[in-house]
This record gives sequence, structure tokens and C-alpha cells, in this order.
Amino acid sequence: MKSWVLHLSLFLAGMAFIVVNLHDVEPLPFWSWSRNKVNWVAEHGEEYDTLFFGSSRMHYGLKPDVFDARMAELGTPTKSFNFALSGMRMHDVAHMLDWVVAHKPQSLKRAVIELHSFEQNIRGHQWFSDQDLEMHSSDVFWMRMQSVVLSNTPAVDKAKQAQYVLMHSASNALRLGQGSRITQDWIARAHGERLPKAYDVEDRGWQSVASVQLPHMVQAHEDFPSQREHFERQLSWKAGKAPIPALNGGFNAEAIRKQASMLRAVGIEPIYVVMPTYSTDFFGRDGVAEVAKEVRVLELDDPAPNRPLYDWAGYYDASHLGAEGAAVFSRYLADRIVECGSLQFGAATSPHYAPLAPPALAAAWSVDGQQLQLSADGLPFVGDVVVQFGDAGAQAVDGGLELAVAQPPKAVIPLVRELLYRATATVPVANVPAGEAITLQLVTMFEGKVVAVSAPMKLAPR
Amino acid sequence: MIFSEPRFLVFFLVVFAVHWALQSNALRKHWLLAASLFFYGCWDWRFLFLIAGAATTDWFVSLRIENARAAGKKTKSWLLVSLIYNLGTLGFFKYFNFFVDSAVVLFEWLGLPVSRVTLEITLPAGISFFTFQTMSYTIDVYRGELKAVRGYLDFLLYVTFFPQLVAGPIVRASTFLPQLDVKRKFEDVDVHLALGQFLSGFIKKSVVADMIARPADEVFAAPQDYSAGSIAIAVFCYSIQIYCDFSGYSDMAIGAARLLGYELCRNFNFPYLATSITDFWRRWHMSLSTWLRDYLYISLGGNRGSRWFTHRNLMLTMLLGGLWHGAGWNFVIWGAIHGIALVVHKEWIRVVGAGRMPFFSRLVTLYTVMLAWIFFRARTFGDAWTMAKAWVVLESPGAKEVTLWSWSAEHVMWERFAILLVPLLVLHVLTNLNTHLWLRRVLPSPLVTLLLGCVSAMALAFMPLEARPFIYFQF
Repeated sequence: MKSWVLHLSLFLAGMAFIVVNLHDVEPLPFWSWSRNKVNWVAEHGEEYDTLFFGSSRMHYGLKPDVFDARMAELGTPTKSFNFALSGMRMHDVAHMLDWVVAHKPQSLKRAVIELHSFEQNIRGHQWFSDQDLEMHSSDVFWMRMQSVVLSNTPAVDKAKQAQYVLMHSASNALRLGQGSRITQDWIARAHGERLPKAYDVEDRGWQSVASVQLPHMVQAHEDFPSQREHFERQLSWKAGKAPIPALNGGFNAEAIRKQASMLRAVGIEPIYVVMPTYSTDFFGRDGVAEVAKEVRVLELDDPAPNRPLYDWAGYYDASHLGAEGAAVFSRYLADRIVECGSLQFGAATSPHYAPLAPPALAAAWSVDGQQLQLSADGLPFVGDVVVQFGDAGAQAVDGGLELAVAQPPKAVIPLVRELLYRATATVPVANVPAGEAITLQLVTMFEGKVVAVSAPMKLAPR
Repeated sequence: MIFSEPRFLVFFLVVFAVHWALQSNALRKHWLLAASLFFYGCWDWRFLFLIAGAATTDWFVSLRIENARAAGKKTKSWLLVSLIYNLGTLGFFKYFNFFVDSAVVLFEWLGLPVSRVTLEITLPAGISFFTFQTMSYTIDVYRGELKAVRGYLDFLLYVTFFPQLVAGPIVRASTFLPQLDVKRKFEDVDVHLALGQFLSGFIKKSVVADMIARPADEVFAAPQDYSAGSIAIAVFCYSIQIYCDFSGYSDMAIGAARLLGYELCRNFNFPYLATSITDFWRRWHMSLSTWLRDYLYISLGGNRGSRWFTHRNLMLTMLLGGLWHGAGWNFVIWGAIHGIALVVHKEWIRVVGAGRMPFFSRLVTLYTVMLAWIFFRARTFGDAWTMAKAWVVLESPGAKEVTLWSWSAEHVMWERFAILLVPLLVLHVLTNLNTHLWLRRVLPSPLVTLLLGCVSAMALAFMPLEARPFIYFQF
């Protein structure tokens, strides 16, 4: 018995020795299909303030140049990059987000994340896929196990899902299948190449789905026209708001809440998006509703309020938008994201623009009393957000304020958005007599019309 | 469930632990039988009836043969029962559609159109192996070389013993059945040797064969697009793949059986180092080649006749040996090439003498074996012919070059080829020189265990991400 224990320990020690050394030789968290985008963001991340994450639906469906153009039209210019990758599920995205937080570009303000299921066996029985090896960490392991436990599937299915997670984890821990990468490294290093080698990323990460020649996707595309009736039926079923349970591995609202907190802590605002599809393979509408209580969710997989996204011609297959559909979607998403600020948590999961109660305004004098510091939180939607002086009236003069002027025009101070829902301004104030209170109001305007005005706020004298 | 799958590891650990925990030999045999039936049932439980039918028939027939002989009666009719049952089953499951299709083609060629009747027949895993195994047992009993076994469960375990069930080695009853009577002690098991053999088989299959399969698959899928050089590389790769795949499986089978205290026969002995084609068949799939020799070639008359009679027997044996591998004319052609090569070699020995120019002989043997692999592997006869022309007269059917595994074509393929093959070749030579046995003698036992752990982790890391089924499972 003693000898057995000794030999077993030695055997395991031998394995551990190699595994630890392989981890040192070959850390490569991202190597294969993910490497280009990862390296691109590592090198060019400072150019972007918005990153998109998600699966092939986002990868083929979101055109950053169209999105940015629309955001500029809406008065909130952005520079975005499509960081989505085919096959990604929520736990994979979590791994990518961990990486982004660890390498956070200073310019990054928002992460638009496709809300998807925590599907555990996206690669079926292929336990050693690149994805499973790369998109992995102990945090991700626990998140996946938690998702399995929380899922509303029968115990047998849960056991299967747990088996997948364990196999993926074991394969990752043992660095299964990375030998060929190591040999490739040796060769590349002998050639003096930097590793992992990256290539230019075109179209800011977007790829036309038509350029993908994977047989199963081509097949799905060819079959799509003949299945119109079937998919239209599915669409009306979705529009009927039927409760749709979480698919294959559950929906882990708790993990998404934690993720949102983590991102906000480093100044990145998460916006979750359920991508539009003709298929019904999503993913826990109940879960979405739960998440929406605390994070912003745009459920665009709901045809009733999002009709522009359900033009048959815009789709490559039931799950993916074609190039034209991607352009429509990118503009639409920009509108909805700007609008997103008006959504209160828990208010709705489908954004119809309807101005809610005006957001909160805060104002204070600077220490020297020469400047007025303004900030507004929970801002609504599109267009101009300004602060205007109320009853006393005022007039803008060269960036300062003349308060001695009588009734209109009132002084208008534009606020600069820092995040979609937050804006600030610091303005020098010339003529407010000491000891005199002033009145401020937050005004929201859309397409030249005032759509919301907060109650007057009295600021104490400086 | 295949040996390189994680679930086999779990299965085997349970079987291993319970097997050695049981104190009684009878209980151990029952346990192994149950495990073997479970293992086979994982492929398709319906075929459990088939394998049990084959075992029951031959067990019963062999007892009848022995009783008839004791009573001075004729035994041949009982042997015929076994042959008809076994060959009938094999013929139906494996060759029915092949023979029907071939007959239809023949009739159409003769201008006699007939309607085509094909059946959806699933090939039971390992049918070629267990059928040959049960047949050899009955023939041995018929020849009086073996006593019929009385215990039915013992015989069933012999047929279904899971390490060798689906892809051999084709174990002879005379080798295996006596082992069932001996109660084994775990202390007698050479764990290092058994584990080392299993691991070496795993490396051959999962690291080398699966990795080198890619370039071969690429070229064999569309040979008309590739240059002669690429075709030569693909043939070379396939030759390595099939050897490592099949001998790897055999090594794992032998290693797994050893861990349970049983010895199976050796199946490969460095076949690509053979000095002649005759020597090749003494080294390649030895359990099949000896089976064909003992039960087919000798039954046909062997070399007990004229030169041409011997040549005829050789050809027939190899043609049927080819057909054993699969229901397709490509396998028959493969067998024919080997048959012709054996005949030519016999004539060469007669005219020139044996053992001349050993290095040159090795090269010619390897070249011929590889030529035959083209017909074994190609999808169609047209593909095979295209590749054979490239192999023999260096005629390039296309200009495309093969990429040696395909992440990118940036690096010179020879570098990757060398990185994989040089260590493989060195290991092959070292093993041939029995260096591993010397190491076991020289190194302290704990250090050997530590090394095995290291090699296991390396093997897992170096296996490619896509697992492939064993080639010989289809036979």
C-alpha cells in the first residue's frame, strides 16, 4: 500500500512537473482564432472608446464604422471596435473581459456585450477545442459551474453540463494539445518572429458573413430561403412574448451582475444586447428580465418593438445578419444605446423611447468660487443635454456667465457626456454676486424640441 | 469507447481496481466478462447477441467435435457448421453489399441489367477479429491441437476480453485460455512495463498518427491537384500514420491486458525495417499473418507442391487477406500487390539467393509497401492510379503543395516534418535496441515512475486537438 502511494505520488509529481513547465513555456492565453483581434486591441486599444463583445452574431452583425457614424449624428461620437468572435458564449466573453480589464486602455468607456446563454458544450464532444483551452481560468470555471447549478434543466442534463465543464478544465490544466503550438513557437522564434504573430484586422473587427466559407454556415445560408415559412412562424411565436427557458447551461444573472460591477469599477460602462435572430434558440427571457434590474439590457431579439431589424433580406441565415442587415443593425443599435440612458433599471427590457423622469443634477461652486461644477447622472437618450439658469435669467458671454441680465434669453450650458448616462461641465462664472443663490434646471432636447425639464434647483450662494 | 478517450481511462481504472480487489479467480473472471460485455455494448448493445452467438456456436461445436472424435465418429460436419456460421455472419455483415454491387456491375457490363438490392447494414465493431478468433479455436480443436474448453464463461471471456476485442491482436485460444486457470498476484505484474507499453501505444496513436494524418488526408482527398513531391509526402505520412495507429492500438491493448495480469501476443516488430516483403509479413500485424499462414495458406496446401502451386497459394492468401481488411476492390488490389511482391521475392531468392544487399532490400521493401498503401487508402481507383503514377514515375498531376499541418503555410514544411520525425525516428531506433528495457534495469524504480508521469503529461500536451478513430476499427 505504502509503495503504491509513493509511486502514484511520483507519477502525479512527474505530470505536475511537466504541466507547470509547459505553462511557463507556453502561457499563450490567446493563440489561434482569437489572436488577431486580441493583439490588435493590445496594440491599438487606445484608439477606441467602445468595444463590442459576443459571438458570431455580433462579429458578423455589427459594423463599427456605421455605428460610429450614427453615434456622431446623434451627438455622442464614438470610436468603436468589434471584438466579438465566433462561438463565444457568456463565459468566454467573461474571459475576454478579464483580459480587457487587465490591459485596460485608458480611452475605453463602454463595453457592448452580446447577452447570450452560458452554453457549456458549444463544441459538442470536442473537449479540446482551441476555445476551451484558451477561454479559460479558474474564475471562468466557477462561473460555469455556478451557471450549471443555477440552470433550470433536469438533473441529468446538469450532470452532463458539469461533465463538459470538468473536461474543459482538465484539458486546460493539462495543456492538452498544445504541443504543436510549442513546436510552432520554436520554429517561429528561430525565424526571429514575435509571438503570437498578429495580422492586420480589417473593418475594425467586423467581417462579412458571406466571406466565411465554413461548410455548415454555407449550408445554413443555402437552406435559409426555403425555410422562410418556418422561421416566420418562430418569429411570431417570439413576438408573442412566450417565456423562453435558458438553453443548455443556463443563464447566470449573478455572474452578469458581478461582471457589470467589475467593469464599472474601472470606468467601463457595460451595455448588454440580445442580438436579433430569426431562430428561437435563446436563452432565458426570464433571466434577461432579472439582469435588467441592475444592468442596461437591450433586448433586440423581440420582433414586436424592433421591426426594422426583422427584414428577411437582411439575414444571411436564421442566426446571422448579412452585410446589409449588419448596417441596419449597427445604426439601430446606436439609436438604442443613446436612448439607453433613459431606461431605468427594472423599467423595461425593450427600449421604446419615452422620456422618463428627469435625471439628477448636481451643482457646486469650485473652491475658489470662480467656477461652477455641474454634473448630471442617469441622463436620457439622444441629443442635447444642457443646464439652463432658471428664474434669475442669464446670458452666456465668452464662456462665462452674465447673470445681471434680465429675462430671456436664459444662459444655456452644454454638458459633455463622459459616459452615456453621465455628463459634466465646469464653467467660469463672472457676475454672480456673492451671497446670491442661483436657480438651475436640467433640460433635455431631442431633434430641437425640449422633451424633459427637471424641477428648478436652487444652488446656495458661493 | 476507444482507448484514447478519457472515458476509457475512467472505465479501465474501475475495472482495474475491482479486478485486483477481488480475491477469487472465478469472481475476477466474471468481473472481466461483465466489463468486456459492457465495453462492447458501448459500441452497440444489439451486437452483444452477435458476439455471444459466435462464441456459443464455436464453444458448442468444439465440444461436439471432441465428443464425436472420442466416439470415433466423423468431425468434419461439425467444423463445417462453425465455418458456415462464422463466414456466413461475416459475409452478411461485411460483404453483402459489396458482393451485390459487384455482381450488379458485372451483369450490367455483360448487358444484363438487374435491379440493385442493397441493405442498410451496420458493421459490428471488431467482427473480423472475433470471427477469426473463434474460427481458429474450432479449427485447432478439429485438428486435435487443442482441447475443447468446458467452461462456457471462460470461452466467452476469451472471445470478448475487452483489450483485444475490437482490433486485435487476434489471440489464439492456446495462448489465452490457459491463463484463465491461473490465479494471478498483482505483485507479479510488471506495472512499469505494462504502463510503458500502454503509454507508448498512446503516443503512437494520439500524438504521431493523429498529427501526421492531416497532410495525408489533405492530399488523398484530391490527389489530382498536387505535385508528385506532395503525393510522395502524403504516402510517406500515411505509411507512418497507419503503422502508428494500428501498432499503437495493439500496444495499448497489450499494456492494458498486462495491467490485468494477462499476456497477449506481440503484433508488430518494426515492420518498416524489414529486409524483404516476406520479412515484412513476419513483422506486420503478426497475429493476422500467422493466422492466414496457419489456417488459410497451409489449408490451401502451402508450399507442399510445385513452385506455381505455392505461388498460387500465396496469391490466394494475400487476396483474401486484403479482402479481410474491407469490402472493397482497393483492398483486393492491395492484397494482390503484396501477393505479387511475395511471389517475386520467392523467385528472387531462388535465382539470386537470400540476404543479398540488405540495405537495398530494405529500401525496395519499404517502397513496395508504401506503393501498396496508396491503394489501401485512396478513395477511388482513379485516385490510386494517379498517386501510383506520381509515386513510381514522379508524374505530377497538379501543382499544389501540401501544407504540413495547417495553421499557417508561413514556415517551411520540412522544419515541422523534421521536428516531428527526428525524435520519432530516434525513439524508434532506441526502442529497437531495447534501450527502454536497459533504462528500467539501470534506473531506480521510483525514478522510472517519475519519468512515466513526465512522459504521460508530455503525451497529453502533444496530442493534437482533434481525436481520430482508429483506422483498424473499420475492419
